[in-house]
Amino acid sequence: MAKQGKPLAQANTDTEQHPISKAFFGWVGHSWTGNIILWGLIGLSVVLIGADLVYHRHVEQDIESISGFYGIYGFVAFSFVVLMGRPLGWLLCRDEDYYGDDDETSGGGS
Amino acid sequence: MSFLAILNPGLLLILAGMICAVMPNQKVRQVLTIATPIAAFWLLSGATQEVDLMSVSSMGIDMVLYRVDSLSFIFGFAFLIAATLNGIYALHQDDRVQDASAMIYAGAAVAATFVGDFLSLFVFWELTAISSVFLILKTGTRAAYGAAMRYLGVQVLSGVLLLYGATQLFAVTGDMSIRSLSLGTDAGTWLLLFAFGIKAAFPLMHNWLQDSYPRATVVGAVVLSAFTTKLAVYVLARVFAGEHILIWIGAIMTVFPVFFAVIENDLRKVLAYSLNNQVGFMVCAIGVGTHLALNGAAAHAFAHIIYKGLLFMSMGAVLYRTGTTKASELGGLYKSMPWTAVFCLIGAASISAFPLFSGFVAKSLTMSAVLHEGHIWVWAMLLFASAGVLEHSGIKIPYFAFFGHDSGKRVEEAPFNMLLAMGLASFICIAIALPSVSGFGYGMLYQMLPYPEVAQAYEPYTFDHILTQMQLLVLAALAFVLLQRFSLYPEERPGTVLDADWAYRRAGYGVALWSGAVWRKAGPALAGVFAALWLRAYGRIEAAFSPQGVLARGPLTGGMAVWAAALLCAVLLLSFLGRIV
Repeated sequence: MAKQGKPLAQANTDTEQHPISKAFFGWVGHSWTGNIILWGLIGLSVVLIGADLVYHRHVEQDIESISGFYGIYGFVAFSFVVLMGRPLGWLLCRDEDYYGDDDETSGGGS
Repeated sequence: MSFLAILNPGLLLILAGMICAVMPNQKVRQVLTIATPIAAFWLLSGATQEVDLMSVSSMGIDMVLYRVDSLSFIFGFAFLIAATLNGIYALHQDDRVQDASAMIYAGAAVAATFVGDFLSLFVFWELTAISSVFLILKTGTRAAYGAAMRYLGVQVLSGVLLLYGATQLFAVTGDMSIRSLSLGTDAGTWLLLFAFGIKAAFPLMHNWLQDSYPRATVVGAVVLSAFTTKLAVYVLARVFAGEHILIWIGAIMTVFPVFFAVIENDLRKVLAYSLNNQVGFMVCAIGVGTHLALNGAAAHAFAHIIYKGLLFMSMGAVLYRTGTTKASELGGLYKSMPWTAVFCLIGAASISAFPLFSGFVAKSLTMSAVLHEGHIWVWAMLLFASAGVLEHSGIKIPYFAFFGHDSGKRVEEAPFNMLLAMGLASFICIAIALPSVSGFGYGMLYQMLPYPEVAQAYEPYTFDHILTQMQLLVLAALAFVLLQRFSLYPEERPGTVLDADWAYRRAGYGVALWSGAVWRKAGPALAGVFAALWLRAYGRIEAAFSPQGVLARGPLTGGMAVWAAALLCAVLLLSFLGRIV
């Protein structure tokens, strides 16, 4: 089994973070983070589709010329994949020990 | 010097690997694992291209052991970079077997890239299988042992099919050289396609990958992710470029793993599905077969080897520190492993093909080529798969490991050597993707492609490309945030996801067990029946022919003489009749 990292010393309690983490990810985990990301993405989406409305793209195929085609396609494709997750999970998911191996699916070693 | 100029660089790696196998001193092995790939690159960079640098003739077969051209160069170069990064990533561990296995495996892949005939290819093709299995076995669990044996069986089968196909071709054409072939009526080419298809993990032949890679060791999975499938991609590009069947095989390959990746809980297994999906893009481009498309396949392979290695490295670091890569047990690791999180995000952005990351400049070539050739449905499938990549590799991997629900795990950051390897891989992911300025940026990648003049005429950073790609990614990411917010994203839970390997791991294994049980019951019964029959027959024969038997008794004591006389008469009669007729 892996030589697992020992938990950090007592000084580094649950509320404390790796110093670099504060620099890079200090913005994560606040109550407003989710909203900022959501509205940021909505704003960006509006800008990107808006740009598509005013800018005449060079296209190879007719379907591409629909304004916002890529955005709508991405949104629908992504949602479809995720929404298929539950029915597929119900259809294909079995117990962890289904094949009679031990449940150690992840490698250990060092 | 002259000898070094004609030495296949893969052989150098194999030699170093063999030294590693018997070298107890860790320091020496560390130097070897990093210096040898660099030395091999030095050899490669000095090689004259488009010439058979080393060849031998044996038993009427010409074997070309070293030949470099623009297609093999970029694959070989990518393999050597991967070998170097893997060497750095493995520095913290003192494991002779894994060091040797990784080196010989990398060497076999590099050597296979630069050979010019199918027989030599077969040798190194099998060597990649045999050398790499130790990276799975070393995990030491029963599950890993089973996966390793299945892996070995499938890989060796691929090699046997390769040899069979090549000899079939040789019988018909008398030519063993690796060359462009078209799938026709002869069985040889189809056998070759099957052999390559197994190694490239074509649909329904793909499960060895998801079975074995997630069970490999921390370092093992990183090493495995680079070579086997990309060697198959290289050979496909060499032999079957422009075969239209590959367009559809590739397109299906990009789409179906997306659905498995969304329900899979083990993040290294998600990466294995994602690997499948990425190789699909390359296979599809090879099927299209235009210069632009083949450039796309090669560029994608190069970029992919680095960013997939990077993603496996980051998950390896998580596994090393926390002991698991199950999404249901992870989350919030950005607090204690921020560097690993950053590198993972760079890998995720690269594979998702965000502008300024390597996937963008590589995948654009393929997408443009497919669209340009008018394969509109295939293009729609690839675009769908692109949104899927963002789902499983772009968001799911970093989100569930480093962010999401905080698992409360507080661990040390990954060892420095792991961070260094990840940092270098991240650097490459960005360096080969930046807008080209005085030779730096994506120009470095494009000038190495098989058709550099076609590549240099292609501009990935047009406003159209950036706008369409950003639309696809941003609105897909928006879909993720909305689905999360409305609790529509399926929760991660432990379990085994059934896939095509069910056919042999459950159904096939079940049939084998059942037939074993039937045989155990039926065997003795059948043996009894046969024994009884034999005894009866023997009894009859004995009753007739033995000295006490029926024939010996008879009214005449010299029964034997009468019989002999009768037979003699019959023979005479027959020969007489034969004469007159």
